[in-house]
Amino acid sequence: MKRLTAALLGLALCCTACKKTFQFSPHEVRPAAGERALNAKAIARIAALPPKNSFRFLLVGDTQRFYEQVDDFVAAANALDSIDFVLLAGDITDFGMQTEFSWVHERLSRLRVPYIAIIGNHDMLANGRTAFGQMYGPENFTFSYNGYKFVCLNTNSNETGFDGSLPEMSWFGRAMADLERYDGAFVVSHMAPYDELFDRRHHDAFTALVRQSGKVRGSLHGHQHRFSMQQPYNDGIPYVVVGSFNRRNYVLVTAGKETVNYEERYY
Amino acid sequence: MRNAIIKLVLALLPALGAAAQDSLPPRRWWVPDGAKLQFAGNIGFLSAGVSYNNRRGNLEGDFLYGYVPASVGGVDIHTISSKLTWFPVRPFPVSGLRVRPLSAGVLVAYTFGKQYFLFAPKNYPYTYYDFPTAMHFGLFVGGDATIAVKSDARHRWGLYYEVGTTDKLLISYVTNHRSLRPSDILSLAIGVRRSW
Repeated sequence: MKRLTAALLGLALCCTACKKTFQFSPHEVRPAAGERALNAKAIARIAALPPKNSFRFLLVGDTQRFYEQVDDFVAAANALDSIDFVLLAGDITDFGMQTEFSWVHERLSRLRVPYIAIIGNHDMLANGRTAFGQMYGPENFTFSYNGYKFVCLNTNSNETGFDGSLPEMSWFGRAMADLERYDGAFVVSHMAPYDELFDRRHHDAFTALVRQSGKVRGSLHGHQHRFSMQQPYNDGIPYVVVGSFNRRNYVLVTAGKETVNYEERYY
Repeated sequence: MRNAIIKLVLALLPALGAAAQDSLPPRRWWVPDGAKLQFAGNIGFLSAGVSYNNRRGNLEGDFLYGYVPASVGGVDIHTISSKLTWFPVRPFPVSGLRVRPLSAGVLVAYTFGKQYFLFAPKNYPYTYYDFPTAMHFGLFVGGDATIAVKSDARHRWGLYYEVGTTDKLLISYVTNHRSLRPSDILSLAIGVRRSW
């Protein structure tokens, strides 16, 4: 009996080694001190990279509840040469819990290169938006690298009941207004504009903004869990959807001054 | 829906059985046998509520309200929960205390707020999320120690602890046991109990 008591107390003491010794609610948003402003930190690391003729990055999406595959991806990505960063196109979590964001960050922070996260529809469940905001920062943001502008935004219209607020078109219009100053641009979001969960009322204006500058070299997305690359609007702009982590898929993107190459890969 | 859940929980409580030792007059079924104040444990930063025991005292049901202030949890979180705890081992005395070295239990909790749902919202074109965010289940093991405060042995103060997890954490672990560790999903709760 004493042994049983000791074992139980031992288990309780072990919990002081738990990720969170005390968990108050599955809905709590309580990231560790080092888990804040992660996108801003990653963008700062990317900005510090030396200029080059062409650069390479990996597009991934939908880590969701595939932690073992995230481990394998990190090993595969760290074995690649001359990768500059990784873009994670949403559905970081399955249930929108901050704990899940932390589990994914714990793994992706082992990448040799910085990674940037975009919000997905699952990341808006429960208090997911609060957690994403605290850990990664704004849902709509841009950064530039080596003459390219990356326009990253929340396109998960369904999560606000198709009320017209997502994607935030006024922000997108402003973000796309200065593309003539760049060699090229990428639009990155979880939901592609032709997806069922993208607000139809914004479809035409969104795709027109992607088209009009002539600078966008690709519209990059996740959500559909299966790789696809097409030009749905016959405007010369590829729409690339990366497969989810359980499909062990990433897209290797090589961006030169004028041309961009996409390579579908598995690990 | 909320009302239905509250009614369901209230309806289940008498089934747990109101305690009454043979020598003492029986209580009305709805009079609690005790109260608890708990810290952590997936049902609130602090949660408080009432307890009901069966006659043998090896089963205990709790009905608690828990709160996480935004200053702690990022957002204000209001949760009601119901716990059922089984004490499979006969209590034994340790220097004036009555120790129950093992407990095992389940809990169900409901969290209030428009950002949570029991069923996927109507605006979805098809059944998209097949899990509720407003409700969660939990499992825990623990133990307690109590001390009598009156000659009537039912009047006791005590401390308890639990180590537990919740449904969504557990499914994450089970499907990723090569990557996640038990310590990723387990957490500790401690509480004060008073029975009368």
